[in-house]
Amino acid sequence: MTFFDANVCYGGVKTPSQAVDYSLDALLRRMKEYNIEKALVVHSMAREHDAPTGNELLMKEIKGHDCLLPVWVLLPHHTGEMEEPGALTERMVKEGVKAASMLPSLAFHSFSMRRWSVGPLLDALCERRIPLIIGIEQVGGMEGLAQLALENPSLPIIATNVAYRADRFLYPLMEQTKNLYVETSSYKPYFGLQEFVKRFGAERLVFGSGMPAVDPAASAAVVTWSGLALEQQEMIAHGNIERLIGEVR
Amino acid sequence: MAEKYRQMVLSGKAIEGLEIIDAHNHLGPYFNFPVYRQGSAESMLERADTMGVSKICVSAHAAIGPNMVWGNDEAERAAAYCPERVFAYVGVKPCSEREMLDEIEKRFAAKGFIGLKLHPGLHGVQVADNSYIPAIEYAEKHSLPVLIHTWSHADVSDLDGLSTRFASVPFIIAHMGGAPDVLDHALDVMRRRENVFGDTALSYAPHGSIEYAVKKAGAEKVIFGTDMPFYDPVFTLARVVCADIRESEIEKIVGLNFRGICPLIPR
Repeated sequence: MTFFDANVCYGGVKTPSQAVDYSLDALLRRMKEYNIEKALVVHSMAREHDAPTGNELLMKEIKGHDCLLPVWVLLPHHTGEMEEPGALTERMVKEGVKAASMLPSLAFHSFSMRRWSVGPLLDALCERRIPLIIGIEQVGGMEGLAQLALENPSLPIIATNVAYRADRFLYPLMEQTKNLYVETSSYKPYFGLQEFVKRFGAERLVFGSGMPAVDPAASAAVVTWSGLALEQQEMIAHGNIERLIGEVR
Repeated sequence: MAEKYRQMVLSGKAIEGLEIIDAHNHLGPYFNFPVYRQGSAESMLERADTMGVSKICVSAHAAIGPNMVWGNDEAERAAAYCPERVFAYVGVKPCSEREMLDEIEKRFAAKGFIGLKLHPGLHGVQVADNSYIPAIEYAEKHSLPVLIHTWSHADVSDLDGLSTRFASVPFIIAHMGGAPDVLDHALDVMRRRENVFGDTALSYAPHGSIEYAVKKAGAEKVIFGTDMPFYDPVFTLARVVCADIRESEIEKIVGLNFRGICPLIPR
């Protein structure tokens, strides 16, 4: 099984674990060990320091590593920290950025994900079919995710950190949306992938390792030991994300 | 690292060449979220087969929740369903000494029980609550392991105290303290106390944590457990068998250590 990883970060963090190597070299080594042929990657500086600086560092540091595809961390344009949405997404596509990430929670970048704040930015992403990768902890949990997905029905959203207790929220939300995808590194209900696929098909699950914080062995096993048919596993492992980023224009 | 195990994980094949005993499982439905396939013993064995796990040790959600007797009945039926592979902990709920001992004695008079499970968090008491003492004295008398849920420094400190008072009882710190900031505390107790072990069950999969536990507490103090069917067990086994540790250490963690403290698990 080979993987296309939709959830990878590298670079130093404020509160490191003694057990984790956060370097780019370690990421590349681990990807090789776990048959991760490509990864959508974020720089930790864009999350924990300054989004534009981190995005710029990312572009410089991953140059020449064809297995790494850049994900930019975005801020709304109102404060002038990032350009107007249309210009921003035009530059993203030009520079080969394949997905966007946002961290709107008060503990991170502190802005509203409602349309009065980020509507123009989300519309610009939507126009270019750039998927938004967002942790549910960033939007206040499953209720916040539901609001985001329902208010922006054409924006491809890949939700991370969807945990094993989420299904009573997740299932009705999946039924009522077509634009929501679940990244698998945290999604571990008992027989969870089998039950999800039975209801919604394998098209809406996207493999992510969650490296460096999450063990890639664990993330790989969620798919390879899922009990799903090989064809379904391959859609989750790489096919779905390839299709999604293939639509970026 | 045992490369062969990583290849088994990546190819979706069950682990071969190791005796794997999952020492921390539950059983049945749960109030807070859906547990598919009713969390039955049959379904858990299906999951165990996918990974190459030979034996599972269960305590019923009901027993660590509102109804000790109901839950232990479920656990007894699960053990009877496949006596060679399914073993049960008696779930112990704080109650009168007589009620507790009657329940424990009744279960050990039946087949399939191998230890005690305490979940002070769900029962709203401290780990060292006095109401648990008769159960731990029973474990002392009968050489039974005691698996205790932990999620805080206070839980681990209490367990540290219990392990000193009951030095011959093997205690397992479930989740190795649980919360990330409690891990070092749990590992310290596991290292200091000969009769204290920690299990690997966690709903998340911190990178490098098995290697870290082995380095700090020793491979002989780490026990494989997954919390199935609370959540999927596969990622925890992958975390253990793909850890960057010696193969002999993996063998200890996935089976030998638990065998060493649980004489009622048959060969």
